Amino acid sequence: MKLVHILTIAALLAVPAIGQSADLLGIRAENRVQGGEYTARAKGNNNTANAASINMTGSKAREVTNRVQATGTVSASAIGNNNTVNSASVQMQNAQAGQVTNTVKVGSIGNTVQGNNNTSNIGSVQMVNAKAGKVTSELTGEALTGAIDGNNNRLNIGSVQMNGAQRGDVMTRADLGNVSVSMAGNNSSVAVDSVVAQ
Amino acid sequence: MLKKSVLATALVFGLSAGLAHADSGDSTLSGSFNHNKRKGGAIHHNTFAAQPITNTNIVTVNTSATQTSTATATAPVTQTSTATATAPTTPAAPSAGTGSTTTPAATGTETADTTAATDTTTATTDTSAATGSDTATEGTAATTQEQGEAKKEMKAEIRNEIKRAGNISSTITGGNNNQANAASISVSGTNQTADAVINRVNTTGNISSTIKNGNNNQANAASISMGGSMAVKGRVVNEVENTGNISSSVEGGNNNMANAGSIAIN
Repeated sequence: MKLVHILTIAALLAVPAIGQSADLLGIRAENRVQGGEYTARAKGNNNTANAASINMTGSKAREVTNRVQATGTVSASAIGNNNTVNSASVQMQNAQAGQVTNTVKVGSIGNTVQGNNNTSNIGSVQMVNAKAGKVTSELTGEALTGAIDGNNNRLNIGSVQMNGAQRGDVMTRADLGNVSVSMAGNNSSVAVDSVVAQ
Repeated sequence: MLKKSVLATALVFGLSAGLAHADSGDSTLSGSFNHNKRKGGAIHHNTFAAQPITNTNIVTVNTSATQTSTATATAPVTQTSTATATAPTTPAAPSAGTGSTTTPAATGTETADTTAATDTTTATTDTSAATGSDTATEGTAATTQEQGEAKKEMKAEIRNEIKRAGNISSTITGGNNNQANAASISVSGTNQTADAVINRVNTTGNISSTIKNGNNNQANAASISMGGSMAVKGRVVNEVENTGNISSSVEGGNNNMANAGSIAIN
C-alpha cells in the first residue's frame, strides 16, 4: 500500500516538470573546434571578430555549447572603434539561453585591439542584457595574451562577465599557464579567472 | 487508511498544479533559473515561406595549389564565388550549400563520426546522395533546384560537409555589403526556418576568408552565420576538425564581422 502511495505521489510531482520541458523548444547551438590555428581580424569601426567562438545577438537558444580543442593558436584582433573581439568565447547580447557551456583547451590565445570602446574575451563567457539558466565556463591554456590600446576597454580571460544579465548557476574553472595583459588608455577593466556581475 | 491515501493524493495533486501554474509564465529557460519571474513566453517556431539561402563554399579537392575564389562585389547580399578547381579527382563539394543539403555522395554520411550518431535532427531529408555530382557545374544546378524547393517548404535541414579538401579560400575586394564564405554556412533574411543547420569541416587544408575595403562586410571561415529572424527547430552545429590554419579577416570599412571556426547568430 505504501508503495502505491509513493508511486502516486511521484507521478503527480512529475506532471509539472514534464509539461514544462515540452515547451523548451529553441535553438541548440554547438560549436566544436579541433585542430590548427584560428584567426579572426577586423579593421574599421563597429567590428566584431570571432575566432572559435559563439556570438549571439537578439536570439533565443535552448543550449549554447562552444567546445574548442586547438593545438595551435587562437587569435582575434581588431583595429578601429567599437570593437568586439572574441577568442574561444561565448558572447551573448540581448539574448536568452537555457544553458551556456564554454569548454576550451588550447595551447595559446592572443587578442589584440586598438581603438576605443573595446571588448576582448579570451576563453570567457560574456552576457550583456542576456538571460541564461546555467553558465559553465572552463578554460585550459598555456599562454594567454590580451592587449588593448585605447579607452573604455574591457578584457576578460577565463572569466564570466555579466552586465544587466539574469542567470542561474554560474560555474567557472580555469587552468592557466602564463597570462599576459597589456592595456593602455582610460576606463579599463580586466578580469582574469573571475566572475563579474554588474 | 484509504481515506488517508485519498487525502494525501489530493493534497499532492493540488501542490503539483500550483507549481505548474507558477512556472508557466516563462518556459524559455530551464535549470535553476526558474525561480526568477521573467517577461517573455516560450520560443515559438513559425513556419514561413523561405527566402533564398546562399551558402557559398569553394572547395577544391586534391590539388596542391591554393584555390582562390575572388569575387568583386557590387552590392550582393548573397555573395557568389567562382570555384577554380583544376583537377578534382574525387567528387567536389558543391560551390554553394544553399538548399536543404548539398553534400556529394562521396562526402555524405560520415560513418565514423560519433557526433552524427548522436545527432537526432539530421537524418530526415538528406537528399545529397541523389543530387550530388562530380562536376562543379552539376553541383551548381542541383543547388539551384534545391533553392527552389526550399522556397516552397523550408523545413529541411541545412547541411554542409567537407572532407579531404585542399586549401579553401574566399576573397572579396571592394564594394559594400560583402560576404565572403569559405567552408561555411550563411543564412540571412527574415522569417526563415529550418530543422537544423549543420556545418562539418574535416580537412587538412587551410581555410581563409578575406574582405578588403567596403562597409557592412562579413567574412566567414569554417563558420555558421545566421541573421534575421531565423528559427531552427533542431540544432545549430559547427564542427571543425583536423584542419590547417583557419583565418578570417576584414580590412577597412565599417560594421564588419569576421568569423573563424565560430557561430554567429544575430
